[in-house]
Amino acid sequence: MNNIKKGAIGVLAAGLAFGVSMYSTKETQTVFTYYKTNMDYPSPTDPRGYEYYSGDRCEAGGTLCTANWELGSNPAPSNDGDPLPTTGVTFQSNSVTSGHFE
Amino acid sequence: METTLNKQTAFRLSAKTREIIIDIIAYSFIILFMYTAADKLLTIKSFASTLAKSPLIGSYHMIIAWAIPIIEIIISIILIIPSVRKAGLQASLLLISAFTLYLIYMVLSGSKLPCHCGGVISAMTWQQHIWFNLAFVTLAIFGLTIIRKEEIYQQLKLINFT
Repeated sequence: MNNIKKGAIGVLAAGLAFGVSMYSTKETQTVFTYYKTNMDYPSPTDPRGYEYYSGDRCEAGGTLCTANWELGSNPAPSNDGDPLPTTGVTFQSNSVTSGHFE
Repeated sequence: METTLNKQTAFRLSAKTREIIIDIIAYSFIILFMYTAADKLLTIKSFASTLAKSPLIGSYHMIIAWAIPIIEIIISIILIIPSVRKAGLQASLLLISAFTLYLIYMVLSGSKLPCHCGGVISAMTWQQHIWFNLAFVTLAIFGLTIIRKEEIYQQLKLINFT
C-alpha cells in the first residue's frame, strides 16, 4: 500500500471516529444529569429539588445525589444552578447515583 | 556480523506483515484519540470542571481541558502521515502512559474519583479503564519494537554489504 493510500485511510478513520463521537455525544445531550439539591423532595422520581451542575458535585454519604432526566422539548440547561423543569421531563430509570450534593 | 544478521532474519516478520501490523496500530490510536477528543471538545465545560476536582490538576484544569484534546488531534494527524508514524507512535505511547499513570495514582491514592472520559469509554470503571489503557500501551510498545527491529536489520544489512 503506498503512502497516499495509507494517509487517505488514516484521514477516513480520523473523520469517522470524530463524526461518530460528535453524533453520539449530541444524541445523548437530550438526557442530562441533575443533582438533587433540595431534600425537601426526597423522591428520586420527583422533578422538584433538582438542579443542573456541569461538574462532579457528589460527595460520599446519602442515597440520592444525581439522576438522569430526558428534557423532551424543554431547553437544555446552560448555567450551573438551573432547576430541572417540572413538566415535560422523563426520569431515566436506573440512573440514580448515591451520595449527596456538596 | 553475518551471524547477527542471520539471527535477526530468523525472527523477522515479512515486510507485508510488518506494514499491516504498524498500520493497524496507527489506525487504532487515530480512532481512539479522535473519538475521545471530539467528546471532550463537545463537553469541554463539564470536562474542565471535573478536572478541577482532581488533586493533581486543580487550578490548571482549564489549560489541561483544552490541551488534552488538542494534543490528541495533533498526534492523530502525525499518525496519519506514514513517514512520521514512528514519532506519532512515540507520542502516543507517552500520552497513553501519562493517562495510565494518572489513573493508577488516583486509584491507589484513594482520592475521590471524578468521572469524565470520552464517549462510551466513560461507561468503564477506573480499574477497567486502566486495563484498557494498558492494552494501548502494549500496542504502542509492540509497534515501536517492530519498527526498531527493522531499523537494526536495515543497518546490519547495510554494514554487511559495505
